[in-house]
Amino acid sequence: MNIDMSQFIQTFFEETGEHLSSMENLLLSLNIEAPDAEELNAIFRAAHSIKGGAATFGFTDLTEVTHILENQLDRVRRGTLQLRIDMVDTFLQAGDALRGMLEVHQNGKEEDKSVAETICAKLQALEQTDQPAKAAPSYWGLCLRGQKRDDDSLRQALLSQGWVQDDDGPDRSQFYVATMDTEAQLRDALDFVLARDEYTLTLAENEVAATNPVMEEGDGYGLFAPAAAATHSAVLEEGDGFGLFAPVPASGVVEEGDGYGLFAAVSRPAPVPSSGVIEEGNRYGLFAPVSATTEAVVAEEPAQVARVGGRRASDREKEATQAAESASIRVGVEKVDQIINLVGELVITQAMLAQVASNFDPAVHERLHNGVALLERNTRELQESAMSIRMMPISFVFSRFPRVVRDTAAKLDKKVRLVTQGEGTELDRGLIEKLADPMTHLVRNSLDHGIERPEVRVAKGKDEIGTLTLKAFHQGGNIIIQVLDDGAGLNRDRILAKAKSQGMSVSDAMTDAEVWPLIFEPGFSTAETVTDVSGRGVGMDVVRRNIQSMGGRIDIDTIKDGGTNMTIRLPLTLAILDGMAIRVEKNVYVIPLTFIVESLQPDPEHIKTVAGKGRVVHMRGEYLPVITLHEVFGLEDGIERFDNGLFVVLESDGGRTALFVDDLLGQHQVVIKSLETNFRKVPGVSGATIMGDGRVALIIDVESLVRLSQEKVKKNAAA
Amino acid sequence: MAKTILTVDDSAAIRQMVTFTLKTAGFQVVEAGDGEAGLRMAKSQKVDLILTDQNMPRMDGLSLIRALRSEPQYRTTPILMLTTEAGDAMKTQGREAGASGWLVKPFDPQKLLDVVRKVLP
Repeated sequence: MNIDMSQFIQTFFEETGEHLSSMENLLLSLNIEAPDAEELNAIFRAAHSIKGGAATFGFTDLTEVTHILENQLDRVRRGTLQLRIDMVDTFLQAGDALRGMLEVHQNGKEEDKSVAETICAKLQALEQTDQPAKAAPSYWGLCLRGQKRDDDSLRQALLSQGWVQDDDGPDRSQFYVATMDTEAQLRDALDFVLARDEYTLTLAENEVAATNPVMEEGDGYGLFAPAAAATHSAVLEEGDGFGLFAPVPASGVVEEGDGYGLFAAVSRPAPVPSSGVIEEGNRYGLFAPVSATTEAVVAEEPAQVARVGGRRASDREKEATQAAESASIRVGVEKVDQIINLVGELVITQAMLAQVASNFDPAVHERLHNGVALLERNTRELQESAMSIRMMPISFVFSRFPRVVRDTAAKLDKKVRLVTQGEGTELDRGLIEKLADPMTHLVRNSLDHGIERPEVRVAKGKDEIGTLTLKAFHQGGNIIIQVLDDGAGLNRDRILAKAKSQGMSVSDAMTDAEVWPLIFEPGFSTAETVTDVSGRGVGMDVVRRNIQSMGGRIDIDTIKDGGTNMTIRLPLTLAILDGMAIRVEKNVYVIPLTFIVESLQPDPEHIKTVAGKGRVVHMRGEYLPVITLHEVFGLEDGIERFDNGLFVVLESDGGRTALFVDDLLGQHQVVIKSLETNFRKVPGVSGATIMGDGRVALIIDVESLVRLSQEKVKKNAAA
Repeated sequence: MAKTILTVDDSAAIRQMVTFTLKTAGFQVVEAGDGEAGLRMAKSQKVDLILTDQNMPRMDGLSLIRALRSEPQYRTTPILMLTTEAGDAMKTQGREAGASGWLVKPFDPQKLLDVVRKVLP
């Protein structure tokens, strides 16, 4: 049968990506001195699952790396390898390498063998550096005096010490034990089953006798194949890569192999079917030592139950989230986007219908009005649910920061504690993706320039460990994301000095609120030395531009030696916007509500013309530059007299401005249609939307409009 | 009536592959993402064969096999372990837990079918 494996590979990629993320998170949260066994198991399982998938789908490089990674993790899990901080680092690097390989495969590129080789060597090296600490097992010969032991208690006692090889002959008086324990420990364990004078214990000369069990008979003792090998003979059928245990329970067939016989003890109502198997080998017979194992299992289960009962609440939460995951389905993003687009169209159609219906007399057409009202409600609910599909918790962005903070702090020799709050806050998937870069930059910046070195902090009387807090929460129609540090705060004098040296027009009289945003200006960096962490002078301006392109804004709040608070404000979603519809002549425009502070009717006396700087309006003790929309957009018949129109006060990164418009039409939720993809980029306009009456309204890009107007004023002044 | 096979694996990719292979060969397939879910599924309907991974969250393959073997209706149902570990220790543990056999990952679909047909009553 030929099966095209490629159809499952996409799932494998996604799954592996998730495993890598969870592995990274778990590694970062590990307590190095006393790692939690459950967490180690989870890390191991993640590596193991990746290996299984990679092997199945033929990604040998992934298989190789995870194989070694898994081995090392297994040693840690079993306690034969003591966890060290550099091991966690290497495990993390292995995770990175795996992610890299995954990407290579995903994009169908040629794999780079050296990546796998490098990380494999690194992982192997962990073991080597650890080896001196690891004692080699010693091999002990145990000889019983007098009576033979039929019960399994001795065997179990020995098994608890390590690997056991025993004499299967009629008088079971010889055992070999390979153990990491000392002689005293071994004797202690034996005390439970044997009196000290019932046996002799001798150190075996070499391990050959123990590890290469050959069926041989020596002088006074015999060496037999160990238990595991005996199991082999109980295998009914073993092919290349698979095996069937005898008995195949339902068949009940008795099979005879070469030199041995197997009896399916079907009549025995044992809970574990194989426990009844009697193996008859050449020259020996033995009962599979299962009864003891069964007991052990029974004893194990209440212990597990007890453990479950004693679990911490966080574990239960973890389980709850896991349960939630398993109840989800995977859908391509494009399918979701298509639904959202259609819902957007539906919203427009609905608004259109509502408009038409409003022309009919409600008294006469009551049923029409009821229907339209119902349609409106259903549409809104449909829209909300459709949008919620695209919503993702911000933890998708936050989750990368434990690693970033750890690596960056280590590089800078600083001690930093990361606190995250509101990881469950949801926002649009498109925003999540775009948020990662600017946030990483802010975090690095805080670590590099904000939080001081431990000795400096101590000198200032602060805790030597700095705290970086990432916070997310909803406020109105916005999501607020804050990056807070308790570091040195921004240095006003240094920013001003730097701005002057960069030729920016600044003065010492500027308020703090005007000084701080200077760091977002292109080419600005106050770091005295350029580090490879941050401070190349590109960045903060890019951060602001990125955030603006998402329709958001960034504010700074800082206290000297108290810390810095960077606040990012973003709309909840990219596809729908809360806007104020305004009118200039016959044209309708939409201004995003986030930028609007207030609207008011101006007093003509408060409007002044400043030579070369255009007009300003005096309101609430402040002079605001006036932007007349019809002038900026070159419309002809806009209202000229200020007392006939309205001012909309806008707050943007460049400060407040007063926008002069003809009229306000009301607040609307509008579906954003990109102008850029359908037409081209238009300065001052961020997109378009279709209003309820079918008219197209342009959505104003406030930042760009302010710039546009400043340029116009400059041009006029020059002319 | 087509035989029903339960496949238990925490990897959706492996599950998809196993399911596809078996369904193509005319079996009915039900899936579970971990041992606990597998056990629930086995209790809620009759299955003729169980394929289980060993390393899974919540309940691992060996525990699942033991739990199934303690259910009267699954005392003799064939259970195959699909495992990446093919060491003797794993085989012994598997046998003692009550598995009917093992299949080492990676495996090709044809081999899966061969072994499945061999153990199905």
